[in-house]
Amino acid sequence: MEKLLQFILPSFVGDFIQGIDRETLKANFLKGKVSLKDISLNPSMLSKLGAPFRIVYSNIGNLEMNIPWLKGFKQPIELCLEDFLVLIEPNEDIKEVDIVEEKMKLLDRVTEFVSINPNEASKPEKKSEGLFTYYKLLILDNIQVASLYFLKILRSGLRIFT
Amino acid sequence: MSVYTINEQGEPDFFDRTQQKNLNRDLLKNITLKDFVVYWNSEEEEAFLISDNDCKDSYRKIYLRDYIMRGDKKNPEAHPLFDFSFDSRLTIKTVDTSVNEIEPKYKLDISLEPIKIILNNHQLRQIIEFSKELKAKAQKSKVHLTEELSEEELLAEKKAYTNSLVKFYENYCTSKPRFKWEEVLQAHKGDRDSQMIYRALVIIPSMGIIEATREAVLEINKLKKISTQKKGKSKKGLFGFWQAEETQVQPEDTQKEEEKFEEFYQSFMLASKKMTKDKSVTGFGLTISAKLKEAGVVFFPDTRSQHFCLEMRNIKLDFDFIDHKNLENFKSNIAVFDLEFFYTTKNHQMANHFIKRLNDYDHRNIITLNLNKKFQDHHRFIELNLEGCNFEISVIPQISELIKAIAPPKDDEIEISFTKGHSDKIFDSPLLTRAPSLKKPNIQTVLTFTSNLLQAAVTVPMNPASLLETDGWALFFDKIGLSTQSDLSGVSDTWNIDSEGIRMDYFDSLETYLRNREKLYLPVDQTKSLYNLISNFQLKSNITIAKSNEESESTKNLNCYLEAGKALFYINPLLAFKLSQLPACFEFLKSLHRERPQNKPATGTVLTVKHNGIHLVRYIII
Repeated sequence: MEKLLQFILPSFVGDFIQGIDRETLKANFLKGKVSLKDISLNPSMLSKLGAPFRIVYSNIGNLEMNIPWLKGFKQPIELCLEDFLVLIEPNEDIKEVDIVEEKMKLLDRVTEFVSINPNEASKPEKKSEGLFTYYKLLILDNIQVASLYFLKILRSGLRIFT
Repeated sequence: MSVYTINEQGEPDFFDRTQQKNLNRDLLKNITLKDFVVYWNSEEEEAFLISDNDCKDSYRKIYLRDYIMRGDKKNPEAHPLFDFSFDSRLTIKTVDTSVNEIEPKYKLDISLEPIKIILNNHQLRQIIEFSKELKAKAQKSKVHLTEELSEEELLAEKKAYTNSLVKFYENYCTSKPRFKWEEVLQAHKGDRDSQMIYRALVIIPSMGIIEATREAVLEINKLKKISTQKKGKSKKGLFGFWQAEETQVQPEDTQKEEEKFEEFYQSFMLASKKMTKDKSVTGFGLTISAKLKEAGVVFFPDTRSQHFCLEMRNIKLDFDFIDHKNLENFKSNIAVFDLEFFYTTKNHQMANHFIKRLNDYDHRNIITLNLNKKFQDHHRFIELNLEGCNFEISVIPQISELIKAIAPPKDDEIEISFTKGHSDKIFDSPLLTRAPSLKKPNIQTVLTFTSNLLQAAVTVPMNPASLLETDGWALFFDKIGLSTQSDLSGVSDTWNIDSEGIRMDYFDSLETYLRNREKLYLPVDQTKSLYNLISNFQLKSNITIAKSNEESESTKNLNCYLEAGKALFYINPLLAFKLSQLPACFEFLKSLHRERPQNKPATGTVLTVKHNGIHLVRYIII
């Protein structure tokens, strides 16, 4: 079951968390409890949100998840974070990269017409929406977080601690 | 910290946006931060350990925890020297209205418990420098550049981009199954065509770049067909006549492919227009409303023997960021019911007030500040509206210590001008190092400032060292309005000052002043008073300052129009003597004076004074 979770969890929380593997994951399937130790935040999380900071280092000592899967996800998932450290610093040129990458993504479908088989390009993309997306949305909308929370910003000898 | 979904009544709730009953509901979240603490460690000496790239993650973890524990107030071993900046309980209610609306919008409703911020001079300087650094970075990353291209320039850029894309394809992609944009990114620092492509991706707007890419795709496909035809012909050989029909591209096929591409392109353009509109034009708006019962800032300029305190009560803040991609576009409103700003010594013997309420009867907000910023057509429009009511300002020398502490060092001094923008800073952007031929955008700041102060008093104590015993002057305004506007062309700034009910009194002791203070704002003619110098005076003025052009030799022109009402001065020998001593009270301002390069004398200055509807004086200085 832990193996199964290793594949499922990253698709749910992969945008936010990374480092989920056999060593970090422990689960009690019947109780719906999942515990992750020594994991970290996905460094691209802040840039995706358009924040002018980047994550230099992060560590979540322990993340306890209470997943009401037996109740068909009709109750919120509870997350409890302990020993959470983040080191972030102001990011430079993030917007420039964003602009270029955004336009490249936009143009990707146009340039597909210069590929070997241009007929493939006009095929519509597969719809990703389905039960999985529904549950993902439901979980994210109702997630409950409790945390012992530490945050740190550091740059050029200037610091803020919370 | 806790985060959970709530319903409209603020109770925990389970939200399923696919259910019919929830289709018109917004998603609400409650975020609570208890024992929320921010501290600014200005003395940290070991920070380099964690910022070092070679530092192992396991060590980073140890160092980080160590730094944090030093600032933890609950930790008995916490460093006693860290002045604490922020300690509160914060509740944020977020509303995600993107559930129903096409334009996503987030609302934050923040309520803060009383907060007290304690800062020393070192921390304040660091915070100012840090915020400057952040501002400069934000400025760099702003891309107003696309708007600066004229029609012709845009056309030339698009053509250059199309050519470069075709060349890049020919050089790198002909043998590959498909065109990959990552290769442009990988090659863009060395290869000229990829540099041009990168530059175009930065400066040409989305719709323009799609059009130019379409041209490139058509061109590449034409070239591909020619080369295929050539290949077909060359491959003919002995049995070539069997293959000839398969390899040769028929004009009907080409037309079909082009039609297919056109069909795809049109639908793609429609979808892209919607997509780019949602992202770059509308952005996701953010509205923040914050309520705070009490807030205090304690500032120690140098030592802990003296400090400045700013205390505010019943504060309401509203921010509306219209476009998250350009944080310059926002509306904000700050209302403070009560405000006290004072200076005190370590033993709190006496608080010398700079600002405080004039009386307790008036229930209007002491300060309401409204700031709107908007960026449009190469102009940064700033509207600042300040309303003040029922407050008293004391001119006491200790304020100079605060100004000195906060003011930037001499070499950082920036001359403030209404129409001078920060276009130079934007031009330091690394974007432009890659786009060297782009012309400098001329961004102009247009400031409209209006202030309306009602029932304001300014007191000038003659001996600020002992406020209880000192005599002094009190200047009272029933109404004073100030408005400035710079015109779009940046040629001149206009100032309008409109004041009513000005009166000036001399008091021989603080007690006298306090006893008579309440009468100040009453429209009673106190002319018989011994201490009254002037009462119920009106003054209107209009000042237009024409700005000198740096390139030309012309100097500033000043046009000043004054209209004064009836003025009666009640002067006796005592008042005349005390009036002559008044300039000494402003001696402390000299210590703030910094040497500036001397301006050329103004020429063409017109000064008009009108008294009771009659032009009294008209000066023309050349």
